[in-house]
Amino acid sequence: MPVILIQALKFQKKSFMFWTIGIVLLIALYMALYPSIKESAAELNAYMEKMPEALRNAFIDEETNYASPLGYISSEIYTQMLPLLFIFFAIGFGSNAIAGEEEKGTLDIVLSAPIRRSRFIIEKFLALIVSLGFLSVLIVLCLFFGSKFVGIDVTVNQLTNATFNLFLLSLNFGAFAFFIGSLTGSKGLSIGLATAFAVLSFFVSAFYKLVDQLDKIKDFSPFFHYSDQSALIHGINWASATLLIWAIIGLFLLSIAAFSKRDLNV
Amino acid sequence: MDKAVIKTTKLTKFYGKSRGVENLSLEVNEGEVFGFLGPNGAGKSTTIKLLLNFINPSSGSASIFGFDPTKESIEIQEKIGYLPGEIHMYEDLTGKDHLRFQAQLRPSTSWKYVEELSKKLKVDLNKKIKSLSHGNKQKVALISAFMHKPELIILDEPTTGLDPLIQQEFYNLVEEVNRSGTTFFISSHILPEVERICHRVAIIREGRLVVTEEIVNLKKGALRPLEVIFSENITKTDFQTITGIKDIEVNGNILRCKVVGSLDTFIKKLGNYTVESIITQEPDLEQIFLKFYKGDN
Ligand SMILES: Nc1ncnc2c1ncn2[C@@H]1O[C@H](COP(=O)(O)OP(=O)(O)O)[C@@H](O)[C@H]1O
Ligand SMILES: [Mg+2]
Repeated sequence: MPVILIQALKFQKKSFMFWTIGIVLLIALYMALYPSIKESAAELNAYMEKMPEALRNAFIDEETNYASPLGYISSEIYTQMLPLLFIFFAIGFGSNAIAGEEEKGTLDIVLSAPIRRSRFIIEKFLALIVSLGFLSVLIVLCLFFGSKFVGIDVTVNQLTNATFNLFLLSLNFGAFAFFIGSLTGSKGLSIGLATAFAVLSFFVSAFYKLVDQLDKIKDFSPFFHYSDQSALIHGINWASATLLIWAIIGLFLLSIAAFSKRDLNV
Repeated sequence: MDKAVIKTTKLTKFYGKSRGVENLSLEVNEGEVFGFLGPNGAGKSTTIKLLLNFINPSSGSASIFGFDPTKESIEIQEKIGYLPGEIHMYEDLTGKDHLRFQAQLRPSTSWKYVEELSKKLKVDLNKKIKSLSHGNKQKVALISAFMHKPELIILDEPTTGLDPLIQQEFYNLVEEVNRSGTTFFISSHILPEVERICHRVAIIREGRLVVTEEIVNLKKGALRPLEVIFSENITKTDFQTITGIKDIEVNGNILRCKVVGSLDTFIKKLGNYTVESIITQEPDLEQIFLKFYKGDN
């Protein structure tokens, strides 16, 4: 029985409840705004239509086309609001998992029992995965029914693709926070470094086209791999997704290595 | 019977440059209640954390049930119960949920025994941990150290925060569980407590072992205060030759003194006089203890 995993999820009950309410409300809000945004976006699009063909293509495709329903979901929801929320949650959970317990002094509750440190890490990491998975399913459901309500035509399959990508992105930063926590036992350091990594990663993906130095390091940016194509519209780019998955596995293994031998602050 | 359950060999831990414990060698035998006595900062908790593999030794080694904590901690932890020196628990859980969780990690737990213990220690397991007083938290943590009936119970300053009645209850519990064969390793900075429940004691000061001795032997070396009232006046010189006598004070027909070890020669000497009454007390270990603490042994 994965006792530690189950207990970690039980501790999240309240937090899950608030996140569920928050996400439902937020998506309802986005959906409620859609009709009015669609109108003004239509005007913008009409203006764009008058541009020369080549210029227009440089500015808009379906992804940045707010009037296109999928464009709205992809660019408004999946590139801005959801990554922010998910990464926030993942870093919080990841830093709490080990470093949070270590700072609270509760590690010895589990580790004085016959539980290997590696098992502790594995179950805690699974709890992070399950929690993000829960939020992901919630997102797919909310967006699917929300879209239906305002008449946007989007399939569960499309939403699943986009959300899976989002899941991988946020799990990267969550796993990074988890690793720093396992290595140092410091929650502050874990949150700080993981947040810095996320912000940097975002900037790299936003500006690598303009700055040569950023272009060289773009492969290290989870955001770059996340946003290189809209999974909602074009499906998952498996080359990028595989890289994100390897990074997660790497951070997970590093966490086990870092935690299994060091002195614990108990 | 004299099988070593815990054995440390020159066990040493430095936190960077700061000393935790140094060259500690001791043995705890199966079935005994072993006291680990020392003032705050002496290195008691450090030693216990080394035994539980929470921290790694800088040098030296330990063995529990013949297992090496740094390599075989699972085998060790299957056989032990532990009460930490600083208790932190999941504040939002009730005592019951907390213990249920820990019971799942220790499959040999019997819930009936948990309930028995909670009655004995008088703690309400339905309350949330965060609403419990320090003493009551301590009780919940004590239950988790005992509930799976381990072969060895390691308690780091178990009675801090317990009120005197519950302390008594706790001492009885240790005695009772020890009678069924459980070995105890109990750290403390309170001498009377160790004197009360332990068979043997190791005294540790500034990270180093000062002495390991049976309580009864320590008592042999301890000074017994005596007051004797005679029917006639006496003089100091009459008693100065008695072996082991110290701090003689004579006041008319009253003699106050302290005697180390056996009282035999003292009593025989009294036979030469008419004695009205004798008042004596248990020799307490305070002086010995203080002597070791101050380091002038
Ligand atoms: N994590 C730590 N980092 C640095 N020094 C420590 C740490 N833990 C304990 N010490 C030091 O080690 C010494 C022994 O501490 P400890 O084992 O807790 O003593 P005791 O339990 O006997 O009161 C103390 O001087 C303490 O300051
Ligand atoms: Mg201590």
